[in-house]
Amino acid sequence: MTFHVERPRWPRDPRARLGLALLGSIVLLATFGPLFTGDPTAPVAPPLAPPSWAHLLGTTGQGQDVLAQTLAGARVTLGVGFVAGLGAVLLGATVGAVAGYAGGWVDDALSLLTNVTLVLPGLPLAVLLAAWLPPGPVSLVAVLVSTGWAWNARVVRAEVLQLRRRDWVAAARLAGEPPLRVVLVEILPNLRPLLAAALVGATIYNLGAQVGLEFLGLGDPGAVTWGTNLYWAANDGALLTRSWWTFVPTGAGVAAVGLALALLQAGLTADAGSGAPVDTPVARPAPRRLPARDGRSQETA
Amino acid sequence: MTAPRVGSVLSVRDLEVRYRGPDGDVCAVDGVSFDVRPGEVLGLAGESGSGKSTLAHAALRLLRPPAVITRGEVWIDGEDVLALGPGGLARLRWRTASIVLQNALDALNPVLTVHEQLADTLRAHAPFPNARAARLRAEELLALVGLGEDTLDRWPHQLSGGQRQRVNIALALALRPKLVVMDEPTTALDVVVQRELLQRVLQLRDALGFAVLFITHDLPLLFDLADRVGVLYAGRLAELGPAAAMRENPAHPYTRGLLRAMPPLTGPRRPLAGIPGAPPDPAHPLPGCRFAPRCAVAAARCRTEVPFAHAVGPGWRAACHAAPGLPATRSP
Amino acid sequence: MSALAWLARRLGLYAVAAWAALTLGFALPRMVPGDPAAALLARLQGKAGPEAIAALRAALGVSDAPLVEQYGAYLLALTRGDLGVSVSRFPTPVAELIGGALGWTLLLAGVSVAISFVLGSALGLAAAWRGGVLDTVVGPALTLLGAFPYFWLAMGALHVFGFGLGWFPLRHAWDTSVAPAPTLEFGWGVVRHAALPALTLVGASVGGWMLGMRTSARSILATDQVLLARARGLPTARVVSAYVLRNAVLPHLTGFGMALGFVVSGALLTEVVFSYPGEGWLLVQAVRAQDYPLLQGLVLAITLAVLAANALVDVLTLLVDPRTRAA
Repeated sequence: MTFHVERPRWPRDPRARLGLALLGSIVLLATFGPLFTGDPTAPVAPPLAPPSWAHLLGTTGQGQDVLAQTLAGARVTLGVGFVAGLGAVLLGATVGAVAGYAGGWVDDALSLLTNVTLVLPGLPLAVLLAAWLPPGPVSLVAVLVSTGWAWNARVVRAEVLQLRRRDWVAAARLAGEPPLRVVLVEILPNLRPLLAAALVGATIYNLGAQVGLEFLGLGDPGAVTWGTNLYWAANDGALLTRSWWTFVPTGAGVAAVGLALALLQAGLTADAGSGAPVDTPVARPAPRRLPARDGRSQETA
Repeated sequence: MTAPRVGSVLSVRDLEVRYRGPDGDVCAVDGVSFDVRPGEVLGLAGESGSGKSTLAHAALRLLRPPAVITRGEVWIDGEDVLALGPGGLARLRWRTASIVLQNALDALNPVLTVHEQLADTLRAHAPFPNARAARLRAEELLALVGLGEDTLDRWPHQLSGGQRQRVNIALALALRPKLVVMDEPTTALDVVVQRELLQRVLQLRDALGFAVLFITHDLPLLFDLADRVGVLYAGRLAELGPAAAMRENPAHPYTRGLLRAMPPLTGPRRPLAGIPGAPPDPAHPLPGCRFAPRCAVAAARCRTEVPFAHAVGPGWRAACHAAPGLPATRSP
Repeated sequence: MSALAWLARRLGLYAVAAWAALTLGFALPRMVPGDPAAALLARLQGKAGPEAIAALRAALGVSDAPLVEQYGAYLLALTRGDLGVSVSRFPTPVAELIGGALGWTLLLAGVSVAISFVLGSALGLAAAWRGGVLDTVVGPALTLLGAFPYFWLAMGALHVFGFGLGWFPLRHAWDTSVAPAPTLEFGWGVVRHAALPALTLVGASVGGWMLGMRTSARSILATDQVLLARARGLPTARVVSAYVLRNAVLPHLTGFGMALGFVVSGALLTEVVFSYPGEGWLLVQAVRAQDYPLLQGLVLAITLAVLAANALVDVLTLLVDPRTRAA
């Protein structure tokens, strides 16, 4: 009985469309771009060479091609960001759905866990975890998921609490359907729009946190990602040598993805509320008349 | 179209209010005309979606876009409301006319005390020599609505529903207006509190002499309360007349249907009957009489020709081809 | 729920969070598979002196004592403010290093958060009330700025305004040529050094506060009480301050705690770029030198500071909102 679920549609909001288009282009570039740019780790020219026709975005402190590094880094960084986002949403949705559906002490315990994770600042906690795990994309995903799931759990729990009271859910429960089936079949499909927005939000968070951790030196310094690109740029004295091209392209990439996701998020959420109260407009100017003493109207100048 | 009536505290003439939308306009109020005389209670009844609340807000220019007034006139105490700028409206509103809304809690600021909200209203229109004077005036106002001085320093969440609406009425009377618009002021209250509150409003009307435009979905309540009653259907005024005469012998089939749907408090018992069907979709208006699809006495003419208001008695008109009486003015 | 019960609940939550953070600091080194502690000790064997190794052993939990006993000793040490001894700067106590850096972080992050919060909230309120250019240009522009990583903006700002134009000092928190004393000259140096990092932090975070306040204010503007406040003829300034702002700031404050975590994280990374001697700079030193006692102490201190700020905001909410104040 899931007829009440709206089918996903191509968003009408122009911001969401722009965000999707931008995100699509970046993903295409990240997927197919590295096929044309060669090995990003190979030294191909003198170090810190400014942009030229041979190397459109110049070279790094190790003489590697910045364009190749930026495109190759996009692959890993976007992949980790998206996978971690998906993980955080799945974990959060599961915790939230179980808490909201089960109620009682299960809800109390899971809600406490959720709230505790929410009030703990993410980055310091992630630093602590990353410091103890072997560096690399798998550890990064684990760290990002374990520090980023809680918001999704809170949102999903609130929604499940609402849905649980709806007629068709109550009917399914009374009909003796097992709880897991009720959650998966009756409740989860209704959360699709919510989860889509949550995935966008989680990916935005993971992008920033991931790049930040790697910049601190908690990534795999041998890998080519946006975070390690910036780590090496800073380590090789990008600022001292004024070689802006070693960090500007990567930052622009992060910002472009962040902006695309922010646009998508803004387009997916309705602009609720209203502006300042104003007097009701009158579309047609009212005739200039005064009520006359004798009951008839008279024109004024 | 008739001219605004001399001596009316509120004159509405051929008023049309539309909500602009991406898929075209929705016409919420369609050519409504009526007068409120000084000191009288005029009741307007209608189902939800009949445009009664839109009408109440539009009369004071309080509706926000996408609502827009597209036709007609509104006169309050001799002022052309639709021609007034923000300054003129700020003078008109609350000195000459004020409004009380349905949800008493939403209408009050949760972070200010009753006194702060009353004092804000008083100070906005007249300077007070000192805080003591404003407080005394606020105390007087609360006493008017039957609330003690101890209410002054309370926050809205500490009051009961009835007390909150009394505060809203005190706020509406703060500047001794000539007209108070009340948009379903008692709908959220239980019956006993509702009666007490309405009794108080009538007493205050007698003492202070303001007129009331009372909007509700509760027709029997209006017959008890109002001097004259209007019935709105799908944005148009179906019938308007003296409360007592209309209750005895309604002229419009819709009014008759509404009365049949309610149990009489006195007199012999009779079977209750609802009105079959549902109000029309305002986005797709019908030609002719809007009530025709649900009307038991509808003729072919009713589906093509808009009925104009017929005089059925002194100060009594009904917009129905089948209503008794002679065609009067061409006012709808 | 009465106000005190609500506050007690919130403080209880922070207490549990603090306990979780410090227990995690204890458990992680003892839980990680593959015994990285032993590997690390082996790697440092030649470089660090025997006392440093002993300090590291204690922090890593390389001990024969039962876990419960170790945990008890760990908690006991914490109550004395004893966070162990730094490995990379042996034998300086971790608490001393953190204490020395704390002032700078509080100065930089505190001032930036305050400016950004006030400025962003004002912009958001104006955007909700007026719309126009604020909504169509300023809002999206600040969102774009917020899409860049904080530390990347810091690198860009330092490149252009520090190295390029020479308007701001390049690193550190005060003028090393001026004696550190409470003089005007020294104070001016501190302000000059904090200016650019603070500006980048404000630039990166102001869009978020603006968006939050805009959303909150728009929902308040749709209420009857605002419509009526204007209908009653109240001056616009009074409507905005007492009827819109005071109500809109409440949900805004509720989100403050979580947002604070983001901004503090950004401030830590910004310190790294500017070599600003606060906790973030210390953190990167600890990561690079694999100074685990220092790292754990830092994470704990930062977490506790953020929790304390949260509690402060809760008390503030209590004072602003009569609904929670009244029993």
